[in-house]
Amino acid sequence: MMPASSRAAQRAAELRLNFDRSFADPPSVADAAPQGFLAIRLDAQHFALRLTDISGLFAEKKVTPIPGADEYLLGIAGFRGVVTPVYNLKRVLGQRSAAATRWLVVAAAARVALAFDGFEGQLRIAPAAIATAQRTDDQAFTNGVLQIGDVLRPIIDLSRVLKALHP
Amino acid sequence: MFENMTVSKKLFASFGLAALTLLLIAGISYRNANLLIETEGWVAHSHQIRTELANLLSELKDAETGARGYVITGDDSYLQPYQSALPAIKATVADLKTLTVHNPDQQRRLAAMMPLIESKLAELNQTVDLRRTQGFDPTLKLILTNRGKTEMDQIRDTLAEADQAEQAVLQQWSEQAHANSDMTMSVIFWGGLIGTVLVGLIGWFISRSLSNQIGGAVGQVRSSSSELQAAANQQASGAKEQATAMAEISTTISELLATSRQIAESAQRVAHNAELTANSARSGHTTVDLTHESITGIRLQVDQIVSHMLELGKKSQEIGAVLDIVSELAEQTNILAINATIEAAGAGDAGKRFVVVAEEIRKLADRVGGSTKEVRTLIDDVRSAVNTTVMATETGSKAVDVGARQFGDVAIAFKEIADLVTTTTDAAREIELSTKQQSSAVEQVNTAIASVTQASVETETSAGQTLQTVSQMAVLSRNLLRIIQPHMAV
Repeated sequence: MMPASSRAAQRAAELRLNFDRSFADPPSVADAAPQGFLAIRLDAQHFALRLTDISGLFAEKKVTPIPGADEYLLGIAGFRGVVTPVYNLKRVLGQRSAAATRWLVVAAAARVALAFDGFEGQLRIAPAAIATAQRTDDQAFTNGVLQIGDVLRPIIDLSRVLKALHP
Repeated sequence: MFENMTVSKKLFASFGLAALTLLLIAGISYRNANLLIETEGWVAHSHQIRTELANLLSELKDAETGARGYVITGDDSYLQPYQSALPAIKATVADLKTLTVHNPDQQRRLAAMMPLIESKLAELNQTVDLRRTQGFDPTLKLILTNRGKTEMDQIRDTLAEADQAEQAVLQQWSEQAHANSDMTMSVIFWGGLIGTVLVGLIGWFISRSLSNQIGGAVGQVRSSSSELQAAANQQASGAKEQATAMAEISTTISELLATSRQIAESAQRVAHNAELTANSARSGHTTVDLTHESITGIRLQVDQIVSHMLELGKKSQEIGAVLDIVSELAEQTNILAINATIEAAGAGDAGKRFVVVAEEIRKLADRVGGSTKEVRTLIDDVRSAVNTTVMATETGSKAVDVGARQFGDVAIAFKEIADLVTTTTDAAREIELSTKQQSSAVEQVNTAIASVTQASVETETSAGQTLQTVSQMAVLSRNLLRIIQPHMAV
């Protein structure tokens, strides 16, 4: 078994190598135009958001609550100088929410921010890997499913969410 | 009562009784002889009185005869009886008075006769004077007055009466003497007979009594001597057994002596070993002290290790804090990269190349985040290792404490061992000394036992002698019994 110190040193060397290579390699231009997704988490459920649906991702934004607002609306926050209402995505999806909402995305179609629990990273998926799900009442806010390994990630359709918020 | 008397008392009593009987007989005989002699005296006295009375009558007759012869013849020669009778009469009367002084009757008769005699003598004197002076005839006339005859007859009667009275007295004395002699004879006869019977009885009784008593005593002596014989036999056998036992005891004591010498040697060896052990315990105590110091040093080093480990934990925590910043930076970079990608996508064709750059930046940020997570995992591992080490070190420190304490206990135990071994050494020395004293005492006992053995041998010899003597005594007692009670002797 390798000692912990030498393993750490090896790992650091790999990191350095990758970092240096990222600058040394020529920039590759994607021809198949894979689509970008944000992998998010609501409680234990995994979801995905299309990058084209959002205009920005933020973390740890100060949200000011509005007195008399309903339970969906967490408050208002400023994004690049624009005051934007912040909704609880989980509540909007019809789930009970008690968890913290650290992460925020701003929709591209309207000046609305949606808060959610966890951000798991960015995904670039080829269009062939995207399955289009059947529309049901339960999946009223999703319009597809991503399968990455064993994990299935329903794709949240932000336009429908916005429609639900502002019919 | 008589049975309980001693032999000497019995003899004394028996012979005293016989002597008393003899004395009684002798006393009675003596008294009777005395009475006889006295009676004889009185008889002689009476005979003398009678003789004197006869003499008086004869002298009176002589005086009358002389006077008558002179009267008849006128011859003076006839007067001679008369003249010689006169003083004789006086003397005889005087004698009679003296002799009859104890008899008042005779005294009274003499007193009554005295005037008659004087009157007769006076008549005779008158007759003689008258014949001389006036001749025969006047004298005859006077004589014929019968005065003289009457007086003479009265005198004669009185004398006869006195003689008769004296004869009666004599008779009386004679009867008394007869009675006395009879009584004496009886006393001598019966006394002799009774005395003989009594002495015979006493002799028989004494013989029987002494025979019984001495026979019983001799029987007792015989039985005692047989018992003594048995006892002497037992004593002899006992003395023999004692001598054997003493010999055994002497052997045992010799063995005991040898054993006690061995004990003394063993005690000496024990003392030596205990001394060696005490030295070892002392050096062990020193070693334990040194080890205790070493353990204290180890404990200090362990404490230092613990403090260093805690320091390491603190440092790793600081690394964690730095890593948090790095992580946050990576996250922010990621967000920026995503936002840049979104923005670039919005920028059309011009943004496509920028999307690639942003993607690379995002990947880099991802990798940094992943590395940060790995580093965090590593740091967590380090911290948990530090914690484990600290805990293990603390456990070790506690173990060292326990070990130090136990070593302290061991040191105390070693000290106690040393003390105990010292005590053991002293005790072993005392045992050695005591055993030596015991050896000398046992030797003395052995000597004493030898003396006792000698004494028991002597006892055996003397018991043999006693047995011999007792056998002789038994023979003697048998012989004595044969002498005293032949029918009892076997």
